[in-house]
Amino acid sequence: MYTLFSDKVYNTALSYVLNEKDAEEVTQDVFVKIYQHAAKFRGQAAVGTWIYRITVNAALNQIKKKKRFTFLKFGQTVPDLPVFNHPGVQLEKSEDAQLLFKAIEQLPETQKTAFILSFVEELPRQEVADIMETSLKAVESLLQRAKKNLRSSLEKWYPHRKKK
Amino acid sequence: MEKDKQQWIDRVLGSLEGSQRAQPRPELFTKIETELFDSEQDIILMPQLRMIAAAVALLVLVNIGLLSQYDQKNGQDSATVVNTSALDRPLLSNYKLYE
Repeated sequence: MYTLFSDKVYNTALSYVLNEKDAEEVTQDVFVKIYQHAAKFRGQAAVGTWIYRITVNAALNQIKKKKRFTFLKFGQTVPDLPVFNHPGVQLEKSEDAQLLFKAIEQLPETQKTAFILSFVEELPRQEVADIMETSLKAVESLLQRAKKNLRSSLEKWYPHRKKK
Repeated sequence: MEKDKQQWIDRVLGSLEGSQRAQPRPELFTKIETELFDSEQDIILMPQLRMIAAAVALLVLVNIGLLSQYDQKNGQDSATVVNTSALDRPLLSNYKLYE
């Protein structure tokens, strides 16, 4: 199970939390949950779908936990994330990917999930819909809105980039 | 200008194409195994849980019993005090016994 899914779980988690330490923590959390709840899995969905669903929830919880912790610790909102370099991205595209992940980070949860599963994990739209427990149409709509929001975020950063 | 901007945005949006999945460090598997082993040790089994619940219930019952006994005894003592309080007059008015 670990051999089959660890890359998928880790890569998905990394796209949400944007740092390797937290992604490992999420991966650990996911496999502990899989082990503890394997008996409850009723086979209504594919195992992969079930594991992705656990991963998305664990990653979103990790982000919330971190925001809460930062708030309690410093009494202020979350500081800007450091620049994130995805280890799987081609070197010549790494600068563009940094900006894209920065823009993805600002998306609402559902749009972020639809985008990460579709364009980072490259899952078929129907599987994304199954993971998110929604319809195919809803996923397509979420992706449209996500792309629109990403475009508007990137537009804001374009002049800044041109000055360099 | 606008065309350049749109081209740049399209390029950024497509920057994940052809990328590979990131892989966790090999040590993570050992870490997860340890976590699973530890969590198994922490699990309280149902028979153990029943034993603990029975012991707690017994302790509570014994305490209630002891408390009610103590209350009864105290009640009797205070009744005695009330009854004898009327007789608080000194039995001896003269303590000079050897005169």
